[in-house]
Amino acid sequence: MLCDKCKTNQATVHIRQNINGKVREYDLCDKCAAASNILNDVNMSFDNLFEGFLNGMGHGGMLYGDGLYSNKGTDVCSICGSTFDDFVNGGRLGCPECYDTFRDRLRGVLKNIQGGVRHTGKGSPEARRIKAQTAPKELTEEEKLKNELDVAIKNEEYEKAAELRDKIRALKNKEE
Amino acid sequence: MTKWYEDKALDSNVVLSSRVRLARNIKGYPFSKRLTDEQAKKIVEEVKNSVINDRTPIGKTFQYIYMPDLERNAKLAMLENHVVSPELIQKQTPCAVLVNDDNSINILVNEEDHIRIQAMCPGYNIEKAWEDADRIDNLIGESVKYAYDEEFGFLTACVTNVGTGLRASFMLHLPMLESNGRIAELANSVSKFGMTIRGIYGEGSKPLGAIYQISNQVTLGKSEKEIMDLLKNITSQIIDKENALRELAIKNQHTELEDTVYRALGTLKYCVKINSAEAMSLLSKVRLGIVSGIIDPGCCKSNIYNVMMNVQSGNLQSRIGHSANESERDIARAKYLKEIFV
Ligand SMILES: [Zn+2]
Ligand SMILES: [Zn+2]
Repeated sequence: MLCDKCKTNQATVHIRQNINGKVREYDLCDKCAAASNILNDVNMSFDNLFEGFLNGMGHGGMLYGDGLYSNKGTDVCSICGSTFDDFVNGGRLGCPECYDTFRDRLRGVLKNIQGGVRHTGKGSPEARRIKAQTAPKELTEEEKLKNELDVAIKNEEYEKAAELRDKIRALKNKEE
Repeated sequence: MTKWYEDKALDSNVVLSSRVRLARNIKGYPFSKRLTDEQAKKIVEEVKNSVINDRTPIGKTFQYIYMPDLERNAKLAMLENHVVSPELIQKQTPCAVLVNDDNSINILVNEEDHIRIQAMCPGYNIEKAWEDADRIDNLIGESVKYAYDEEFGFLTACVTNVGTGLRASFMLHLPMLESNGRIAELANSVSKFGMTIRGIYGEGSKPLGAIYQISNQVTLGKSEKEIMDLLKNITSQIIDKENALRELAIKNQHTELEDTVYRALGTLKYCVKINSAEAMSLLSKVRLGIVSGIIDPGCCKSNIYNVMMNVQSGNLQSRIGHSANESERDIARAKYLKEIFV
């Protein structure tokens, strides 16, 4: 279906407004929906409208995207027992596992209200811990010199190697 | 200890304060709404122990408050000081708050999400607020297993918080934009950038004292830094507009501006009873007078933002030590204002 406003882009958003009993319906593309005055004349931004709907207070306006309506299943979250309809009606998910259960359909929802669909921010504590463990640790002065010495010997730079050996010896003496 | 919001620096600019909130949930439990009392109590204990324990020095700066133990006015005062949310004070089920000694960091347990970390600081300093929240997040993450998904990030009860779980915001004083009728237009344009502007006490609250909160709406698909950079960028443009209007008024309508702010100060000093809405509106004018250099900041023993919090009903009743009806509150409010303005 084409967007009611620009008549060029594919409509991704359906808006149903009930203002004092007068029902108006629109199918809009993302861009037109975001810029639309239809939303402004009820004094609500695009985001607020959707948030209102998600909070279950959406009697004034209703909006849903592809994700919500396509493939409308009856899957139940095996952990908490909530259904996707519970989410649509109540605006909240039941438990963290719901994100996995309804992953495909949530992608559509998230695309509509968040824009982005993939987390690019801070990692989980576990991920950070693993990263910290595998990151190359800071070498000591002595280790650095020893590495340089290995390279010098390999390259047969004996003068340089002798210099480095003296440095390492001096460092060791200092420690003692 | 002096609370962060008692800092005189809060009167220096358009930006009153910076705030960062992180939403986190614990793996293996349903979201807050579906928790049994037993599960909710377990979560309260788990979070409390992750912060307050022998291993972490920072834990010693935190006080643990079990919400059902508090009486109504104390709860209301915490709400007005932005420590707790409206949702948390209405809850009947086990929930708690951990708050540090200057009230700049607090951790709400079993609000909409299991854990909400909030860090606040005076002025335009979102970096400091982020560092504080990030540190507490890491601390809790050491012993608590967060609900996290590779694709969706930190999982939250409402999809509007998923991903970073980050809500970064500035509290702004915009008397000139407000009196020039520019707020609606402003709200509309910031929404195009995934930002929102609302009144002083958050969602659905009426704008009071020309205080507005700007925050990000989008939490997924952008990194924490990207979110905060965008917020800073947009906020600095708002600051410029507010300042430009103020400069214009100082230049072209100096007498009118002077008259307005001194009348406001006079009323606050000499009134015998005053309701909260009028007090907020007059305080806003006095603050405009202070930041414009018309009134000496020494006219008030505290910063105006703190006075604005203190004239709210809950704080007022905590101050007088008992519940009071509307008329008694209006008298107590005037009495407090007489003491604070010299
Ligand atoms: Zn269109
Ligand atoms: Zn579930």
